[in-house]
Amino acid sequence: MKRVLAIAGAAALVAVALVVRGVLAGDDDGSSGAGGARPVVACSPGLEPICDALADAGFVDPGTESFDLGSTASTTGFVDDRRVDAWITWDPAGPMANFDVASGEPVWAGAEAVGSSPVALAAKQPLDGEGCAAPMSWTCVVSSVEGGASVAVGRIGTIDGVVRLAPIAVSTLSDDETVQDLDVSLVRSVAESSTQAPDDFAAELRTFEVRAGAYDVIVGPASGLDGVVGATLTTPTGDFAMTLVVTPRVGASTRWIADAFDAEAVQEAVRAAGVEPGTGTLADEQRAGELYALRQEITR
Amino acid sequence: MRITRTIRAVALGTALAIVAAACGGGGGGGGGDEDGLGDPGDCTVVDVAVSSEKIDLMRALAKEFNASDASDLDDGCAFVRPYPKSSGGAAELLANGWTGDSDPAPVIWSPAASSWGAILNQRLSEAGEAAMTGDAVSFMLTPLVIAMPKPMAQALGWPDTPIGWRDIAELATSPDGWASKGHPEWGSFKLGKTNPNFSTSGLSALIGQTYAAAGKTRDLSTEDLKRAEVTDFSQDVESAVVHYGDITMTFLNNWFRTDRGGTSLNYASAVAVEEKSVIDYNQGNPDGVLEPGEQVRKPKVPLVAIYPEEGTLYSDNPLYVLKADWVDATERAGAEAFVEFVQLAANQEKVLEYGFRPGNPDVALSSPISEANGVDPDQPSKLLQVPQPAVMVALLDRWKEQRKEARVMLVLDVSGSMQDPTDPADPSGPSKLELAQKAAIESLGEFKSTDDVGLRVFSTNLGPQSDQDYLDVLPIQPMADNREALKNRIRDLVPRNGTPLYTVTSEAYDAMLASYDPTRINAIVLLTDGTNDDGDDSDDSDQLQALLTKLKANNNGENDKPVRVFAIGYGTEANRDVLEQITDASNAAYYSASDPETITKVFTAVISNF
Repeated sequence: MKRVLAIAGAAALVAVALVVRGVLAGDDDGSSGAGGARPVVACSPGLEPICDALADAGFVDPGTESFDLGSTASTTGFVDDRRVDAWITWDPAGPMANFDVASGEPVWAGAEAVGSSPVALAAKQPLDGEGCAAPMSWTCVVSSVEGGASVAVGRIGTIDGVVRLAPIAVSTLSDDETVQDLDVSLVRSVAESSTQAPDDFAAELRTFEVRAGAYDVIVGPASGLDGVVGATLTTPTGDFAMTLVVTPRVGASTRWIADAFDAEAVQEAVRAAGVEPGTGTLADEQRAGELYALRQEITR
Repeated sequence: MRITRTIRAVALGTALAIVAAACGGGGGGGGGDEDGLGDPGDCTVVDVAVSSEKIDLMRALAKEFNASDASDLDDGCAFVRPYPKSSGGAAELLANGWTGDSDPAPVIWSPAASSWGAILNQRLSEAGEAAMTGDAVSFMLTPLVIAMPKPMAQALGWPDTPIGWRDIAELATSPDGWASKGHPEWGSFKLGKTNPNFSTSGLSALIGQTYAAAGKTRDLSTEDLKRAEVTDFSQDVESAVVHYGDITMTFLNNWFRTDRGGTSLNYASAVAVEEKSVIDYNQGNPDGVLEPGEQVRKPKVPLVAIYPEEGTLYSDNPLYVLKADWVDATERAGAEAFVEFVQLAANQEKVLEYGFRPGNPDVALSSPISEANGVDPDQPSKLLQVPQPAVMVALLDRWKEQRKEARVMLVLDVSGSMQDPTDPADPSGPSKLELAQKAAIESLGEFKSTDDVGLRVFSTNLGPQSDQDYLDVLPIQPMADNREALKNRIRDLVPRNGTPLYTVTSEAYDAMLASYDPTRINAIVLLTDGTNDDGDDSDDSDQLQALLTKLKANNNGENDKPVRVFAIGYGTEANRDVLEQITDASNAAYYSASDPETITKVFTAVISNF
């Protein structure tokens, strides 16, 4: 009997030691996710290389996930089933996802901007429709589509698609109109102007570069479009930017973010996503509401 | 320059593999044999089925991968071994669990276009099975174009006027042919298109012409396919087809050969091919494969690439790591390492060297994708949406009925040597004739009911008086009436005496020419296992020359009544050289079935010309 008790006691001591070591190890590596382990992050589609860079640099858990607006980010059950401490996405995905949470309890806390760039367009041929003369306005894209041009603006319904389509959609509204007055079919005609399957910015940019004929125009962050061979970059009038953000889960620590996004490899991944690291301001609540309404309208 | 047939390459690859397996020892590292692709050593083999036009490139990449650190896995190493397989053929095999093929089941499948992945998944879905292909890396691209001899393209307004499928349909149905464009000397408009069930170019061309017919660039539907104007338009385009076939190289080699004699414009006016093939042709390498010692020589009349104004499709060369039950975790890891390797910028430079457009945007488009080679790096200006898989399957089904009808005489050798066993080591095994009978009967299924097909057999001392060199077993009639009779008559054939090859070919040709039908593909399928042997070899040379002169005269535009002679060299004794002269003279193609076991595949490939 004594022998059995001794063995059980030893096993318990080993278990306690393992727990203590795990906690200490979590503290030692500077992480600040739940339970002291490294944070778990998710990325919107197209931004996965940033998650990978963070994981490779040891700032986050290697088991990163990919999710976006819609049933995933807005469903507490989904997030609860996984330990997701932060979501790397485009602003204002967090507030937009919170609008959809059935319980009304926000899932996502205030975001931190880690990079941004004005929304711009690159075109392979000069555009000559309405609004295309300098200074170009976003109505130029609409008139170009009416003239047969194909435009890459992402998947409607994703945060990538919403922030890229927003300037074009807004340009169709007069000063006294709101998003609810949107001519949805007109905006959809832009989003569906290409015969290519819509995708995220990174994928569409690659297609634009390697497949002649796929798109006449691509819309996206100016820094990402700068230097595309055989295309002219223009930033139409209007105050539209794509801001890359880290959106923490409510209650999750944000201490790791500053160090992580100072790391060279991570900044390189941020640049590759098409934005300038360390820049950007967040959309206010009204803007988030407008984009939420836009998404609702065009995905209806 | 010789036609490089898929079948031949497969047979060669298999032979090399067998030799390598016999000679190779154990030991790690792999790749110790001469070509670097035979002996995997202790590494995990990753078999890769690739479409034939990129086999040289894939082998070069595989050799570099196998010799590099990139092939190191957590536990061991990967050894990539590509082999050629037509996209349509591989899709068919994968849909049926890859059974009954001499090539190993692949870990990676790289058809010429992702359309084939969609078709495969559709067929699997219809059979209640899980998809085998998912998202894939497109590691290089080449658009489908309509290749035309430069003077013909210029006659249509190239390069200033956009040209498309509507122009093709209009010319195809013009009773005046090229005379309507001021060039009566070019005769009728002749189009080369491969069989879409086998070839990606054929499939892309079919999709392109159908979109043009429907006046759409996206959302092609099965309802569209049923519209009368779509059906009519497709039949108009098909009416100009000279013949189909399994690979575009047949057309390119024939074009190149006739170019030397100054008759390339009479052979074909336009052929639907990949842009890469136009580059190869204009560089003097029409089939894209340089045989040892082969010298490139630029054609007298270059081709130009027409990017159809209604839009086109890319062959996007996906690399599918298959979700198949024969792929284990280590093979998958090796496959993924190779997929990553081929996308590296340095390797994408090689892609460009071979005339493909790189899939990596870090590698800029440059020579040979240039106007100097007849292509335009800024084109195409419009892309078509790849139709839904169910629509593509419906499209293929409908094409079988819409394609140009054929008028074919099957000319089969029943000489005494056909009774030899296919395997000399197994005298009690099937004879050559028995395998040929089986193959011919199976291939009859490829003909449609409105095709006209007849059967002639040849040997010496045939007929009631034993004085005939051939017998018309069944006259040329619609398959609807002939199909069952053909099967029975082929089944009843027995080996006889000599091989009066030249006599029967010459007289079969005369008969086909005399009854030529301009609305059909007129052709002879000639199967023989030997050389001319009619009992008198003193006049063999004269007989052959007379035959070749006649074939050339009639097929190089003098009477605009092309009758193609497609020959199958069966077994190791067939006189390949003579048969190639005959097929070349009639602007057709030679098919080798030197391994009698391949005769069914070869017969099917031959019938794909109709």
